Amino acid sequence: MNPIDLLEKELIELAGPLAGFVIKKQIKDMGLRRENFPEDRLTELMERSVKNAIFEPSKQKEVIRKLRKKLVSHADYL
Amino acid sequence: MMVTGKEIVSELDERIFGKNTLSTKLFKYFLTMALLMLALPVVLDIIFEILGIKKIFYYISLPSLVLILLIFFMIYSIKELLRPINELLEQVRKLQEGKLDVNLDIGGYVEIDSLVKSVNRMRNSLFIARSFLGERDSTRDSIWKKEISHIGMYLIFLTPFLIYGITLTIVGTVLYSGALGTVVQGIVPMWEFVRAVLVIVFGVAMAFSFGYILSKAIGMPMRKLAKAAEEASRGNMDADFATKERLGDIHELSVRLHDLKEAIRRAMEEMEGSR
Repeated sequence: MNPIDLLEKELIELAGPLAGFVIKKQIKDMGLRRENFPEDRLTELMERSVKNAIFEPSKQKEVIRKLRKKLVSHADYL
Repeated sequence: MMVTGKEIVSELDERIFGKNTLSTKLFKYFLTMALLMLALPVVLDIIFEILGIKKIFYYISLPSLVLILLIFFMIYSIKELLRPINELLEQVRKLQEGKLDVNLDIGGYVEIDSLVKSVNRMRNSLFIARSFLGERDSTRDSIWKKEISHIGMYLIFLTPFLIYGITLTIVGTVLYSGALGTVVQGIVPMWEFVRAVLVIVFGVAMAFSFGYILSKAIGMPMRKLAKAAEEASRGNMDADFATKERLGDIHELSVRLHDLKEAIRRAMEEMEGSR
């Protein structure tokens, strides 16, 4: 699975169906494209998306920590 | 590490009854009720025997005493089951008023945990919608109308207790008063044994009715609601929140969650359209 798809899946689990829009907007705001998204900016995308999709600041930190781990293990797996 | 008594009890509780679901809670209430129904007449019988009170008074006052204790137990158990539902309802009302800063630190049993997770997901959806579309009144269109009062609800729960109390009073009064009582006791051999069996059968039947009504009025609609909320919060906009059961708070919660789902659907359509 593509890491952005993984991020989208995890965010939908936490923030519902509108989470997909957040990721699309963040990619656009970063001036990048989903198809050839650079790997070294994945963490930045994840942090920006979480901050715009999760309401509670305390939960945001927790989610960022968990997703960072997941993305790292996903990259190792790939 | 110090292990507290509470931890030991909760560990034992989990080992005996398994996961803390609504059904487990209902089963525990049913069990307590059945044990109370069996033990109370015996205990009261002994007390009346010791105090030397005549049987006629025993049979007239027993149902009242049992009923008073059981009604207290019934109110306690219903309040305990509805407490987290009411807390969640309060937070959902605030969400509908547009306040996203609600306290969702509510627990109680598995179905409530699942509902809280879904409401949290819906809150995040509203948060996203707000940042994309700006603040608006889209969540303030509740069609909720109170359809049954709390008094009505308690009256439904009270029915088996009333049947039990009235039957015991009639049987007791008839058997231990005057000529009719003597006749019946003469006709029915081993009357004391028959009486004990009657008390047990009635007690268990009443506890069963109580458990059945609780399960029908709270358990089933809560499970249905938790499932619908989970589906809706994950994006299934056809999730069905309709409950046939019109129990005040659960019905209001289902209507309000349905409204939240509709607000998210509208936001989604607008966001799709503005892409």
